[in-house]
Amino acid sequence: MRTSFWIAALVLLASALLLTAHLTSNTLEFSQYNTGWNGTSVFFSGLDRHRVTTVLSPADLAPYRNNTLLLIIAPERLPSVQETAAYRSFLERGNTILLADDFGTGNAILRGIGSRIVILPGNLSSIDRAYNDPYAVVAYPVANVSPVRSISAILLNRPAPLEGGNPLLTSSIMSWIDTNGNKRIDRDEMMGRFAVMAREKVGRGEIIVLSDPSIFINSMRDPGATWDNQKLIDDIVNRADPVLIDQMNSRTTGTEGMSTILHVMKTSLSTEIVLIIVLLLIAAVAWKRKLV
Amino acid sequence: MRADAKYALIAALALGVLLALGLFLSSPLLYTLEKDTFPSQFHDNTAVLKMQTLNSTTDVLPLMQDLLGYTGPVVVSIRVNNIEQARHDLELFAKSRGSLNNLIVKLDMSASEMEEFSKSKAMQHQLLTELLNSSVSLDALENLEIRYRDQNNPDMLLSVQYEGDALRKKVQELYNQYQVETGKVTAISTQFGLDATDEETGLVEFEQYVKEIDRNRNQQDELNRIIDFPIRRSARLSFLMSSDNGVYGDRIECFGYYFSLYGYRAGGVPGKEVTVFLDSAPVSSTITDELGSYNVIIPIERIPAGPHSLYAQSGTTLSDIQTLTVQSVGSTTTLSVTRSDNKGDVTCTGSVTANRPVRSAPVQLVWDTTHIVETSTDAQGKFKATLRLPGGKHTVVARFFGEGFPITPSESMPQVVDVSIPRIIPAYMQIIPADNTFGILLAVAMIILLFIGIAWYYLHRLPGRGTFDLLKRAEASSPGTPATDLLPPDVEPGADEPGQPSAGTSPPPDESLLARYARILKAEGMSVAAWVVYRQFAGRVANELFIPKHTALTPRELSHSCIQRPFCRTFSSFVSTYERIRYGGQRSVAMQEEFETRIQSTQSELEGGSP
Repeated sequence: MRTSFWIAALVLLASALLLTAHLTSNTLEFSQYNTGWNGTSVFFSGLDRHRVTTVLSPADLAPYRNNTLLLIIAPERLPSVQETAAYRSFLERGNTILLADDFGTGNAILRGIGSRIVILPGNLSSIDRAYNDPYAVVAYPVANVSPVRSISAILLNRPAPLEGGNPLLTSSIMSWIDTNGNKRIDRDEMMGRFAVMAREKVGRGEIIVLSDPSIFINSMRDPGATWDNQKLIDDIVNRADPVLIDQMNSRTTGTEGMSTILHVMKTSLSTEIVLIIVLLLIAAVAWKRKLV
Repeated sequence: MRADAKYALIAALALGVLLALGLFLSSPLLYTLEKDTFPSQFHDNTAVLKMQTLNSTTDVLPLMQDLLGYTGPVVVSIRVNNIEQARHDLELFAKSRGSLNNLIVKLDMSASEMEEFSKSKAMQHQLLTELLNSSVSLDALENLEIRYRDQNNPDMLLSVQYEGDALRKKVQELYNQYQVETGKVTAISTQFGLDATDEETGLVEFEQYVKEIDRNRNQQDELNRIIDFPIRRSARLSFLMSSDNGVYGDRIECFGYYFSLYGYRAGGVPGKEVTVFLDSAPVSSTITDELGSYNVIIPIERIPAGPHSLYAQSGTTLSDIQTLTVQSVGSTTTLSVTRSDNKGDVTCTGSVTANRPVRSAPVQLVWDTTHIVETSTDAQGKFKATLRLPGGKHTVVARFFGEGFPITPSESMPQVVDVSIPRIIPAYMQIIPADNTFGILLAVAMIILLFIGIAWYYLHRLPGRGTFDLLKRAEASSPGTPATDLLPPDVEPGADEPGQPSAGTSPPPDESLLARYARILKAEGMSVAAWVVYRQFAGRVANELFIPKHTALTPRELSHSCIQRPFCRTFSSFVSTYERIRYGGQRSVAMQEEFETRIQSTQSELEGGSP
């Protein structure tokens, strides 16, 4: 009897865990609830909750001044007027924005805050690569400043080229912009060195643009010992000053199905309280029945 | 839940799973690589990409830098007449260029600056090779000129001089082209940050060489002025060879000059067709250029070893006959044989080389010394053929006989191949045709039927039913038998209950319940005695109500299960008292008396309720 009970309990527990894992995950690009190769679940689960704060509205940016870093990963829509104003004001207070975007709406944010850096269209391709794919570009630091001071090379995944600003990371000289997306160099595509990370002073603050948000996805988090992707991310988020993560306009907030419900439950205080009350009621009823 | 319902539920669930699996019959993989590699504009799934780590700084640019270092030394070697060194450097140059070409193909960079660089380098290699050959020819011509001057042979001297002029002109053209290609190479090198100093050195050396050979020509003109040309009026055709001997693969350059003599003046005749004959058989034709000179290359390939006559003819004008001696060289034939496939086919690949690859050479593939299949080598001296062999071990060799070639015969090392051809399964043995949907459905149906059969068998050997039967039998044979006797064989009495009667308290035959209670009360105490009585009544109640595995229920659960029977109320009171003794720890005399009263009333009710 007891053995059967425990086996049944284990099976039920395993089923519940599997079901939860299945229902709470998704396959959306960059989603923090996506545990697959293209999600950012590993990045978000590794954040220090004591020092990293999520920004859910423009007003959340207001209290921060001097050396706070705001991380905007893969923005998915055009920023609102309020958001743009909040970003600009955030920079004016001496803070830094790190925008990681390649084919999203990053250029609109850059224009909005008055930056001259432009994310160019086209896939940056290179001879320097990790896989038999020219879009798996290896980039090298060209400046001895944070956050690229201690890295030797990073592996990117379909980066875009940057124009303007002071380059921090560039591709090798044997790189080109694949404008027609055929994954090979054509006669009209010239080889050269292209920036993939650049910075620029904007007001009293600083904007840093990384033209590949894919370094935050699970499969690119640690592509191998040869590349310092992990180190770069650590250098970005593990700093003495506060780190904010933009959740107003980012693909990392992407949810679908059950994960949407869980996301709402996690991020809404009132829903959380209601849930706790319901759970306590269920426990009380069960306890009463047991006593009876 | 009743056992029948439980099994029915499990069966329904299993059937549901099987039906769900049936939905995936057409594409049985739930998670495939293709499903996980959906196209994304943001990134590629690195898990499905092949690792290919490349660093231009360490893998590509050094290769290009190496290539920049060959041309300068080659030109210098030619200029100082170190022909062997120049040839050696050119070979290394070609090999290094091959590595870059392979990389370009591997990286699919055929439209890049790398490809342009490689093409310019290829052109440079070709130009330098031609420069080397021209240099050798110029040297040969200089020697001939000295000889003919010494022999006072004005016809041949003039022919040699014109040939020399043609070669100098050619060298000048080579230089012009080389200058263009060097410009391209230097520009690309500068773009990639490479050091192109050697390129510039090579170009300067080339220019110096051109000036030197022009200077030599002027000096020879001075010498030739003292030659007295006879007065003739006839057409002449000269014929010279770059070498009068060679081996397989050598290229013999034949050149000459078609001219007419008018007094002391000789004039080349352009546009004349000249045919070169080898052993009286035409081997090549060409047209004289604007100076009247001609040039043909005769490769030594399918020419037997030994002396051969060579001469040129244009119309009725014949040249002098020259002798070319072809020497024989040894050859090597290689062979490798793949494993056989299901039909017994094996692929034989190999090559024939004699210093260099032997082109279009007939090769015999001989297996088991008796069966012969003929094939031939391609332009790279390689051959490939498929043999269908019967089952068993076979020996295969490749033979090159060398007939018609200045090459000695050779034979490969024997290759042993073990051919195993699987037996074809007869149609009647194929229970499930794998490529037939009907077959798959049939297999699924069989699995379902098998499952239903097993389920039916299970439903008809329910342990619960066995328990009821045993209870009934036990009750029929001895109404007062203790509960432990009524349990099924696989249920140990008190297995889940502490305080069970010890082994020494086995009941004597025909002992009544109360007598047994009294005996155990005296021997082991109130709690154990109460437990024995409870088990007795519990077995009876379960039997009456057809409750399977009643030992899995608590006394209270069993009491709650007892409904719509006259004895249920009394049994419930009994259970209440029993719990107070057993779990409440009450052992007073009053409690003992109350419990015994409950025993009697419950026994009375139970016996009254089961006639």
